Order: sequence, then structure tokens, then C-alpha cells
Amino acid sequence: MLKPQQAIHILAAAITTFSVLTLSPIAHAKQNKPDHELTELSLEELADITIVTAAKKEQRISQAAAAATVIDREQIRRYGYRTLGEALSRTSGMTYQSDRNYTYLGVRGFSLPGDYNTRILVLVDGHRSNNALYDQANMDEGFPVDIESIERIEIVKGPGSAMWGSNALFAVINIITRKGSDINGGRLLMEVGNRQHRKGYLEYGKTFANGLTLAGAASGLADDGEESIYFPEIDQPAFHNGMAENVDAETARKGYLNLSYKGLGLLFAHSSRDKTVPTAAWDGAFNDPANYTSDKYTILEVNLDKDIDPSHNGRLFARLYHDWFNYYGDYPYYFGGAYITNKDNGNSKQWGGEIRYTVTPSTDFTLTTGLEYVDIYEAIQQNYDAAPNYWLNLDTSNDNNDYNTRAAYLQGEYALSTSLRVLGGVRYDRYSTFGEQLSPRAALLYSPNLSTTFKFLYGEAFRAPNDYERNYADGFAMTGNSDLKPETIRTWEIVGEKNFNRHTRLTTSLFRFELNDLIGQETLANGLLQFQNNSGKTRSDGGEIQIQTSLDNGYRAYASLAYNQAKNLATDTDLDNSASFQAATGISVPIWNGRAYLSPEIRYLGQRTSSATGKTLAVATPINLSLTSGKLLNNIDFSLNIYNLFDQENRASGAGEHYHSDPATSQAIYFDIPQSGRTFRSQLAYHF
Amino acid sequence: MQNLVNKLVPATCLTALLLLSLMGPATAPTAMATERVSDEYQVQAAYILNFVRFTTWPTSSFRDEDQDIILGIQGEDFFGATLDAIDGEAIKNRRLQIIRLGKTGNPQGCHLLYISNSEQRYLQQILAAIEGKPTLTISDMDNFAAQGGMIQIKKINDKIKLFINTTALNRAGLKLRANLLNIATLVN
Repeated sequence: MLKPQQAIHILAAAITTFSVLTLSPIAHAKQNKPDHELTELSLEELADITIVTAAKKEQRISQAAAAATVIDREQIRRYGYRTLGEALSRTSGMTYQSDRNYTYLGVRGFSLPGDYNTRILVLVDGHRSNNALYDQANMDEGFPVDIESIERIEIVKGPGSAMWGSNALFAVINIITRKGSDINGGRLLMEVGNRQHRKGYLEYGKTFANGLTLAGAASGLADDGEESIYFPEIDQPAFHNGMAENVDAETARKGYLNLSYKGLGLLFAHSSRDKTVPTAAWDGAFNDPANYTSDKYTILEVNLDKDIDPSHNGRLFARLYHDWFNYYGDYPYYFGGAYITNKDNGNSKQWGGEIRYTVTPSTDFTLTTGLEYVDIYEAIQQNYDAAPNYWLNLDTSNDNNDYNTRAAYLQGEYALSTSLRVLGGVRYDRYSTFGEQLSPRAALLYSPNLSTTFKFLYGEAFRAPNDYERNYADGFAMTGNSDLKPETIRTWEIVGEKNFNRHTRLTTSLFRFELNDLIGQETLANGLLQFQNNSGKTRSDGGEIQIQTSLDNGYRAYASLAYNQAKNLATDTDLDNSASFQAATGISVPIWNGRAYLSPEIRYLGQRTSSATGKTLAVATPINLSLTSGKLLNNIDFSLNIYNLFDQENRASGAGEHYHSDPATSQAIYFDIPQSGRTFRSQLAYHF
Repeated sequence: MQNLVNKLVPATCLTALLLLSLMGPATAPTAMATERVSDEYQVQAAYILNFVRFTTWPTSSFRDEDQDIILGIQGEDFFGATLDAIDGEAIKNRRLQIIRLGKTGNPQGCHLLYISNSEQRYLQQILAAIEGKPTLTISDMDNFAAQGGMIQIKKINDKIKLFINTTALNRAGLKLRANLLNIATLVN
């Protein structure tokens, strides 16, 4: 498994960090130096001072009209989460699996293979990150923001379209990037691991005297991936006896920049990620490193956040943005003995604007209203054989597939009494493609006492058919469908929240959702695949419990448990790849007088049926172990992480593209996808 | 693919350099240099000290001439070390003593009570606990003054503004000096 050379690298890193740890005195926490001078100022002088940091208002989760959870920087660090998917899947009802090309987040039993997280809306500082062509939200290294640049992850489960529009069927996940005031200095981080894993990360953040705050980071990552992956289903000489060797590599480069000055803000994020595809999807040339995909995201946004009617808490928020997305894939395959390189390409460009106004006309009434416009002015998909002979299968660059959406929304919140509040909201979307969609939601929040809240929730959400589903027509495998309607969901939920003391918080939830007009592929009479609103009503009933505690002495712990029963009502069958049980638990224990933390974590993913192979996939219980130091010698910290400590075997169901044609029978052989084995990582960070 | 790996290191270095060059001009543009800026909670702390200076408590609320003036912080403490700057500060013959009550501490007996915006939901319960007592209540939570609090500190377009509920002050038997009332918006 581990090459001697790699082992030496890891050992060296471990010894260095351990010696730093054991020899250094406990570093003093960097203190927020009080400004003594301020206390000498007169009231009039104080009134003239300009405030520079963002107001540190607490995220009042108990007031959110949904089951909400936050994962902060400290949790990410202590448990060593490497990707967004890894962090999210500790939340009750969330799972993640990889097909070794992309990572797929399952929510509340809905985890269809090949669903590129299109039914979850992922935001970067409130900015939509699901791309315009495939609706895809990357949960892996393809996510536009590096995990190290994330200050906080806010997870709101349930339908969110009443505020956010398309894709917000199961959850809205908002990634809050690190701001100048969160960083206050610089950090240089080096990361190594087995499989030739290496990563460099540099961040800097500062608040300048004139009120400008700046934060930015740049990172690069490379990983050779697993040396060999065995696919027993295709153990034949034609497929290298099922062994995919040295075809699991990944590289990623990312950067972001955040500026804010007197209510004006700028957000820039760029990512580029390449992944070799060990499964050689679409019956490609197996065990060939030429199979790879590349995803590039660029986000550029300017925004304004201004108080304009202070006596009624009137607050105006506006944003204007431009996004670029580029996907590229090489799919080499054999045809009649010839080695053919097929290329798949997608490009989208969009600009958009949003204006939102929040006001509190009276103390017990809050109103939010907004308008949004998005113009997807470029949506191009291409597929062609590049060599040996050029053969064009698809090129939509002259088809004018551009489209736009406009929306208006209104949300109101009214306090009936100190213990009872009602919320209502509705959003109207108008797509130039399919027409109109209305998304309402309503909630009743009841707090019988200080520490308890019950939430009764109802909401509807939708996903608009995307450019890939509407317009991908390569003539030999797939054809488009411009008549697609949006998929819709209705969700009923009861949430109970209790704070046992200020350290411990319990959240429980009972829910039912019903999906209608789900978009899936259908084989036409001419043999071509087409996306249709073909799936009958799907229903899931379930419950979730999550408990989280963070004690003053440094201990932190969490546990989450979820059960659901997801069924297709039309066919009375269980949903593909849907585990009824999911659980996760972790505890972070201070060691060496609080100089470091030891944080074991275990995940549980119950039995599920692979739609690809029809097999029952075994329960997976990967255990991760992290050792994370506090600041040593004032400016150094380190971590050592082992993922899947016991190298447990674990398989995921792949989507329909992961197959190979049996050379003897020409029948497609589908296979399940082995998940990552034991992995080591070590980080060393220098703060300046 | 391997090419990309090889390009990765120089690309990272280049972006790092770009980022470093951005950090270069670490001084403020001179046009702005005269303006005073500070952290919101540092300024709030400075205001609180002024509230202590310009409030008159009934004599019965102190045991004797030298008893400390007690400032309680209810809920999440967003001040951090900035509050320590005013802890122990002398006001005439008394000293200011700060007590962090957390979410569950009893606010009774405080001369001033700063209610963190983390406690918005529990505001009525907290106010009820000190009803009729000469406790000056302060908070930066929305609608604090309108909901029965005494001094609301509010950030409006990067400046601090005060909202003072005179009815609540009178009910508690507290008097504020005119210079404090003059710079505030009065709420009834």
C-alpha cells in the first residue's frame, strides 16, 4: 500500500511536528488588544468613529424556519475535513459517495447515482455555485473555494426555492468564505500525504485603517490517487483483469479574493480541477490515463449592503455578477480495433443581478422582498471524435441555447406572541425556456420556554430542466427534449430544538417529502436516450436526531442519526442507492494540556441497493482519526490525519455511464465503485 | 495530465506572488487617513464606559460609598479582551466591575446589564427578571429600545447611533445626563 519513500516522508513530517509540539511552551492566544485611547474619547468623538468589522451577530439558528446546522472552521480543522462533501456528510441525513470522478451528496435517502448534486443548492457567500449547464454542485476538489478558505458552512435542510429559486429541493448550503477580520494576518500551509499527495496553500487577510478589509488565498493540490483499484465485475484480460493502475490522479488550483469597503463588497473565486477517471466511463479504454475530466469555475461579484431606513431596520442588499463555467472531458475508446479519442466540452457564461430589501415596519413584523435576473447568454455543448478521424457528434454553439430567468420574492415574519411566530414566503420564477413556477412556504415557530423551539414547516421547491437535459443530442446515444417541465417537491416537517445548557444542542426532525415529475432518462423507440419527466411520484418519510456539544475545556462532540424510507410510489420500489440508516459521530479531546486535540470520528452508511449491479452494498463504517495542534511557538500548527483507519472496503453504486461491453457477448457489464482506502495526510501551517 | 502536475508548482508560486503583491501597499490611502476607525465592540465598550459616567443611580442601589458598579454581560460575549480595557476603571470613588453571566447567569444585582444580541429570543424573560430594579439595560440587538430596553447601540452605515427609551429609564428610577440624551434618538 504505502511505498517506503512515502512512509519516510510522512514519518519525517510527523517527527518534526511532534518535536515542535513537545518542546515548545504553550503559546499564548493572540489577544485582541483593547484600544485604551478610545475610552478617553467624548461621546461626540465616539459618534464619529467608523466601524470596520462586520457585525458579529450570532447566527440565530433557532430562529431559522428550518432544520439548520453550522459546521465552523474549528470543526473542519479538528476533524481534518478535506472536501465539502466530507464535512457535510457528518450532518444527519447526509451521505457522500464517489464514483472516483465526482462526489455525490445524498440527502434524506435521495442519492440517485449520477445525480450531480443538482437537487441541492450550494452558495458561496450567498452566490449560486451550481453551474448553468448541468446544475452540478461540486462536493469534491472541484468546488470553487478551497476547504481551507471556508470559515463556516451553513446547512439548511428542506426546500429553499421560496427564497432561492431552482435546485433548492433538499437543502440550501451556504459556504461562508474567510474574511479579512477572520484571518488578520497570513497563513502558509503545506500538506503531504500518501499517494504522492501534496498541497500548498497561502492566505492573507487584513483590515486596513481606512476601513477596507481584504482576504485572499491561493492553493495548488496534486495527488496520484490510488495505485490500483480492482473492479471484480470486469475481471477479464480485455480489461486488464479489472485492475485500474495509476489512473486515479487529481490536480486542483484555486484562489479567491474578498474585498469590502463601507458596505461595498467584491467576491472573486476561481477553481480548476482535473481528475483522471479510473472507471473509463462510457465503455472507454480501460486502464488508460487519457480518461479525464476538467472543471473550471469563475465567480465575480460586486455587492452593496446598506442600512437605509435605520428606524425600521431597513437594509438594502444588491449584487451584480458574472460567472464562467467550463467543463472538458477526454473519453478515449476502442471501436473496431481503432483507438479513438472522444472529446466532450461544455461552456457557459452568465451574468445576473439581485436586489433585496429587508425592513421591520413594527417590532413584531419583518418583511423581505427581492428581485432577481439571470441571463445565461452562452450555453454550449460539444462532443466529437478528435482522432484518428474528426467526427462531430454534437455542437450547440450555433443553436442559441441561451436563456434567462427573472424572479420576484416576498418573505414575511410575524410574532403573534413572545412564544409564537409565523413565517410565510413565496417566489415567482419566470424562465424563458419552460415558463412560470411558483414556490411557496409557510412555518409556525413555537417556543414554550427559553430553551425549546418547535417548528412546523411546509414548503415547495423546484428544479428547472438544465441545458444538458434539454439540449444534449449527439445523434447516436442521446437526444434532447425541449418540452421538459421542472421537477417539484413538497415537504412537510416538524423540527424540535433544545438547548440543554449553553454548550449542548439537540435537534430532532420528522419529515415527509413527495417528488413529482422527476427528470430521468428514457429509451426511445429509435434506441436513443432522452430525458423525460418520467419518474412517478417518489415519497420519503423519515426522522433525524443530531446532538452537538462544545465545552469550555476544549472538548467537542457530535452525533447524528437518520432514518428514512424512500419509495417510488408508481412502481412501489425502494429508491436506488438509498440507505435507510445513516449515522455519524465524533469526539474531539484535548491532550497534552490542551496543546493538541485528538479527534476520532466514525461514519455509518446503511445497506443500499446498487442500481448498476443489482447487488446489495454492505454497510460502511469508515473511521477517521485526526491529531490537530493548537498554535505552537506562537505561529505554527500542524495536523496528522488518517482517513479510513482500518482500510475498510466500501463500494458505491455508479451511474449508467460506468460500464464496459463484454467482448464475448457485447452485453454491458455494470460495476460498483470501490471507495478510497486508508489515506494519510499531514499539514504544517505557519502563521504570520 | 502529467503536464498539469508539472505546471502546478509554478502556477501556485505565481498566484502566491500575485497575492503577495496585492498585500504590498499595506498603508491606507492618505485621503482617508484622518478618519478614525475601530472595531465595533471596542467602540461599544467605550460607549458603555460613558454610560457609567453619565448615569445617576438611586443611592439605595449601593451598599456604601465605595461599592463597585457592576456591569453584567448576559449571553454570548462578543467583546473578548476589549471589555477588559474598561474592567476596573475608576468612576469617582467607585470602580467598574464586569461579570460575565453567560446565558444562564442571574442578572439581578447588576447596575448595568449588557444583553448580547445572542439573547434576542429571551429578551422579555431577561427584562422581566430585573423589572423595577435600577438596572441600566444596554444591547445592540435589533429593536431593543422599542421592546423595553433602555439604551440600544446600533450600527448604521458604519457609525454608532444610540436609541434611548426614556419611559423604561423613568420606571427604573435611573437618570441620564443631558449630554448623553442629546446625542441619542429618544424612543418612548
